Amino acid sequence: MTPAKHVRGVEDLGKDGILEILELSNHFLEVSNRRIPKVPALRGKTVANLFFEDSTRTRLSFEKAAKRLSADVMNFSVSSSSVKKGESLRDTVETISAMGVEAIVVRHRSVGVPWMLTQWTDASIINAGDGAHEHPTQSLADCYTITQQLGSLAGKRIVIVGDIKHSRVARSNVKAFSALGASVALVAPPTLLPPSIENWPVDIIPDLDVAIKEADVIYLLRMQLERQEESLVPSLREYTNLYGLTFDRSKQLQKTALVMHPGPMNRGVEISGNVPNLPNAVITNQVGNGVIVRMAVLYHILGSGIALAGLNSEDEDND
Amino acid sequence: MTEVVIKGGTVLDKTGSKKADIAIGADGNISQIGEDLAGGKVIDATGCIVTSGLVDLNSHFCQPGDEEIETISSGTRSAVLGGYTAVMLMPHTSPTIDSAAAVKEMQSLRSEALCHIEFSGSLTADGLGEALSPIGEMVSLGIRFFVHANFSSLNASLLRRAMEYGTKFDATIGLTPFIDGTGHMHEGIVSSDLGIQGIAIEEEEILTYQFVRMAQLTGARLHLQQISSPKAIEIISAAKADGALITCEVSPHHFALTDEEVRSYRTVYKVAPPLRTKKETERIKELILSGQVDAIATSHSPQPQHLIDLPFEEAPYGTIGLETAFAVSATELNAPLSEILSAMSWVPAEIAGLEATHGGILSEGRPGNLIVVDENKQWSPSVSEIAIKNMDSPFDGCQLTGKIKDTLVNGNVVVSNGQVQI
Repeated sequence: MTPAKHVRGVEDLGKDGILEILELSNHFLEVSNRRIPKVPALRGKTVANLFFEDSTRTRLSFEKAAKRLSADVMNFSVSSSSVKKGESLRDTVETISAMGVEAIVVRHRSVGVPWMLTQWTDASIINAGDGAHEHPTQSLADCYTITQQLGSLAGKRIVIVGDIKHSRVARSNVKAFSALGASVALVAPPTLLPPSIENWPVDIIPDLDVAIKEADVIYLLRMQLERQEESLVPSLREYTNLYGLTFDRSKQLQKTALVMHPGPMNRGVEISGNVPNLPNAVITNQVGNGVIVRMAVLYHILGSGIALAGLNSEDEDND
Repeated sequence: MTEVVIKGGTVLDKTGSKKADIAIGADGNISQIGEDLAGGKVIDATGCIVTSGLVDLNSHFCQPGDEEIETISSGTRSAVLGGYTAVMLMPHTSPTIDSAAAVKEMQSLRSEALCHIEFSGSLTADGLGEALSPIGEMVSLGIRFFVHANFSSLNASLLRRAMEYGTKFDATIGLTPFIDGTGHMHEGIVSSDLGIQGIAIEEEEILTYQFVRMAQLTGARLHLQQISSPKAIEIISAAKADGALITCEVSPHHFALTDEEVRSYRTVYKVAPPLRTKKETERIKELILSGQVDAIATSHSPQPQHLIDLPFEEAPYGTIGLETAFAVSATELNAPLSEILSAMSWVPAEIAGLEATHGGILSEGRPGNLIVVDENKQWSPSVSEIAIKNMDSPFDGCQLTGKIKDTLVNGNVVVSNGQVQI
């Protein structure tokens, strides 16, 4: 397939694009396990990390992915930027673009920013999270993790639990999981479900104790503490009782069922303190795979014409 | 002595239509309506409709305070290109039009306008919804329309007092049933898909009902602005049937565009109230054609480019509309021109208190506030050609049918063949 120019949302890749990224990820997993986990695939290319919202984890993951591919990385975060001095989004992007970048990784609190940026730059745009809308590379990490553990997503029951309404991870994952043939169920308080999701390819199950029994994967979302202040839930304690994966509740899981979370976790709220340490909890795998799939995304977008097979690590690359 | 003759067109007004020429005298008034008139400058109206100029009830020209966005001069330039010979300006400027002094300043700006400008006053001091404005002193300067638009800050008891007080002056109270809360777009499938906080249409319906009942309680004359909900219009219609002095307006974007547009993230689609769904836009068109909507008003609200470039959730509400309102309405409604003119000229002229000089009936002696309309002209608005300073329009590139060819204000030809003459 023709590589995508941008990865702003899951739809920029589609099913074939996702499968290609997962396939590439196998190769980059191998690279990452080498003694020197670095290949010159993107040597001479520049990737700008443009983070208007704090997210050290995601930024570090992208930075590490770009560096393993030998790309130059420019980090631009709001605290060290001109945005606080009133420089506009457009000026910032045009400035960075003028310096010469091949890809811009953008995180912004507002929906649609990655799409807006394409008006102002020729660089490829990778969405590292826009408001409550999309976080496609998190989805790719999650799809890769499930594929590693269960072989594929096809026919699997994936239960997503928590604040669907405000979650970019949930929106991207519903698209990606269902594109790969999984059947997705959502479990959330009515106040934390989006108001009109009749077109989404999901089942809505009111009771976690019902949904948990059929889950091949239980995917917990982070419960923002401020949702309690907004009266979206009466108390975090009640949320945990009804929607948290407590240790007792985890006993209802099928033996092979995976426990996933995009991080950062609120231990004791959506997930009990010891649940992340269960054998089938793959939360740290998701983090590690985040770097792998981001390498695959950068290579997919920027590495056209560079043969994967010939990519040796730098210590072997001096013939 | 005849200054201008509009020749060869079909003259259309409230009383019907006929083939006729219109002559305008040196005083700017219509001197004769008849066949084969001659003399002075000739405007060729062959194949076109000649009718009274449009009247807008809801424009924002940003002067004083934000002249880099829009001025009386640039705003009225858009207006006359769009066929408007009178526009009512909203009082949300800096400073707010909430006192005799502010009204006088606005009135002094009339010399910069290319068409008649009428002013509304703010119902509350500084538009804050905390204290009543001196309505009486503004009425004494000719203001008869008082609006409040910021319902995050108006309590029901103040609204009741405002309505009661306004009855002394037979003032019209203009209210927009919209609360600027946490939402940014219509709550529905699109907002759920995009993860943008929605605004339920029921909020508008509940506020409309509250305002309507309060007008019935107080006997106030109420004009509801920018209705986007068909149910709200039905609530208004029921109150009218009960004898309440209520009128309402809708904006062309509320029947021509839907919330699907927001999927482009373009901020020209961020309006208050928000764009609704196809189901609502179709129903609003039916309600206009059944006479339940009194006026089509633009809510022309230009934004500067740096705010247009903001992300959707951060951008301000409002977009432009004066230059495209007629063509969008004619294209979307696909109705006899008389029905469109009723909602865009004849009835709004009455609501604005301008019926002696605008709208309605064309007769000898009335001011020459006229337009020549080419009903069948196909065209596509282009932001690069739009007159005002604002550089984006929700109708950029749309295929429209019906265009204003000429506009005359007090007998002066201000637009000729689609070009501003001044």
